[in-house]
Amino acid sequence: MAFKTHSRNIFKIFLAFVILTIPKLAFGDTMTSGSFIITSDDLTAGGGNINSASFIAESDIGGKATGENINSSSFKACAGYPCTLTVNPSITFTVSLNSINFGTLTSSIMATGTTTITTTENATSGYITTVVADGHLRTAGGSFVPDVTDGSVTTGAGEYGIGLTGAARAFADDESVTTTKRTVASSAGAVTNSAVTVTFKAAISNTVAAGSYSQIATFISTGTF
Amino acid sequence: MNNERLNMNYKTKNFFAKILTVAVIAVSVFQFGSLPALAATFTATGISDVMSRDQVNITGVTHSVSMTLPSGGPFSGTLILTYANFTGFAGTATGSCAGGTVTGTSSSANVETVTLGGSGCSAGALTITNFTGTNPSGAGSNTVTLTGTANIVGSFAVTTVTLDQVTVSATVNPTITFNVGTQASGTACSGSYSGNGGTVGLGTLTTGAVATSENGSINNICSRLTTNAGTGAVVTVQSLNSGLKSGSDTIASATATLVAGTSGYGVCDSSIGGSSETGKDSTTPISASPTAVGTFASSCTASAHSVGALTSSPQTIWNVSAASSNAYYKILVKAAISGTVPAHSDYADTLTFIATGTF
Repeated sequence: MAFKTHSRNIFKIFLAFVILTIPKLAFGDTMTSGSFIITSDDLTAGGGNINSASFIAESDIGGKATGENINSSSFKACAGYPCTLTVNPSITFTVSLNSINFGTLTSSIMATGTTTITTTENATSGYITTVVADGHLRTAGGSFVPDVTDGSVTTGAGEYGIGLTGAARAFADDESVTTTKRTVASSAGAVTNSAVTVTFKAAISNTVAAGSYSQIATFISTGTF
Repeated sequence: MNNERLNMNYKTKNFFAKILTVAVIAVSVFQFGSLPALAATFTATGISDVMSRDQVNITGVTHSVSMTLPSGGPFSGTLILTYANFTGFAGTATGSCAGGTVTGTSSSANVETVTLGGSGCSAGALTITNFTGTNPSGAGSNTVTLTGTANIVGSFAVTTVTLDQVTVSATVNPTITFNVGTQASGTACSGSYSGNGGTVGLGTLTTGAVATSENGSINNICSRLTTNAGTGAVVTVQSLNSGLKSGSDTIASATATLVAGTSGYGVCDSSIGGSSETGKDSTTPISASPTAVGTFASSCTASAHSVGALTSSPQTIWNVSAASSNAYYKILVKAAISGTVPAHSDYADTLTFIATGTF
């Protein structure tokens, strides 16, 4: 009788242990409500978050080992459960050439100069690069080369603007560079070394006044994360 | 006795079994209890910051942050934006959101704090503007994190670049070209005129008529100017004799409306109008129009004889106020005599035209 009772108690202990431990393996899932979030729902013997400057991983002691971190210079991944990997938002941008001198303009030539703008980013909604100028291509006295308005800078016509090449370019014709921001490159998602070559073009007519002309164009690249 | 001992042994084991059961439950519950239960946070998406400059070390760079708040609001409390590597944040931020208000709270170092107030910000667009900062000294990606009591979280990045500007420069050399010459009566002056020099034979002067260009076979003068002088150019005329001269006798030039029988001599810009008399190229920038000047700008046709006096000093006969391409003007020469003008067959004058640009 006593042995039977004792065996029943042992069974109760075993049953309690099983009941309280099995759910850890069977029902791991994100648990949230309007007022709380349980960020770790794997009920095992231990573990926690592992952080570095570039990622956060979640460790687990006693969970089933099913994978490992997989990293390279261009991506990070992890396998197994639990597996939490955070890739920090990132955007870098370069402008290849910061000075373009057309030299002496005449009505019989179209002067050109190029710079390449390059963006690398991991923004979910991509990026845009804009250009904005401090004014016309102009002299200190206020004379200027008129902005192109007909989509093409033409020799002898008295026009100034930019054309673009590259998959991420924002337009295919020639457009002006003014004090109003103009988008010159964009993407809808993450990109690596998205390059657009910007060709500055100047063509003068006989009536573009003599003088020394200059303009400063500023490029700004912005990611949307 | 044996039963008693057995019962005692059973009670002891049962007691320890219960203790063990409680311990197992406690440990298990403790495991549950140790799980971190945090206040709910909500992740903003579509986050961006359009800065006025991306270049390193630039001060006073303006920021314009926009993001999309998720459902789960309305959100009230602070929203703190911490910019890695930035410094010198200043200004009182302003902003907007759906259903609530966004008010700048503090702006210092690399942290911008705004308060979501009013009825709280609901799901949708949220903007924060009107704060400035100093860009980091290093080029690269800079992480921005969102925290605060509004429980909005998220992160995004902004870039800084060594040089973000392109300076474009060019030179346009000063130019001016000028043609002036005579052409047959009735011939249109135009922007393509290429003659140089020549003579205007007034023929035999009589008291019965005013001798004039464009009448009979008396030539006219066509002048054409192209210049990129920023403030334009003038065309002047200078007379060798200040009149038609033969030996010591002169038909003096004077500003007047010539009439038959009264001695006089001069030139004028044709006032007929129309492209055969004056004009310019259609260019970009727009060519300045040639303008008749002073005493030479009067009623001047083959039958209207208001002339300006010719002197030995250059006098402006027409001009352009800015750069102009192929600006041209037809000029008429006129003379009349009274009955007392001595007879000679060689009354003459030499007119010199000079174009001068002001660059």
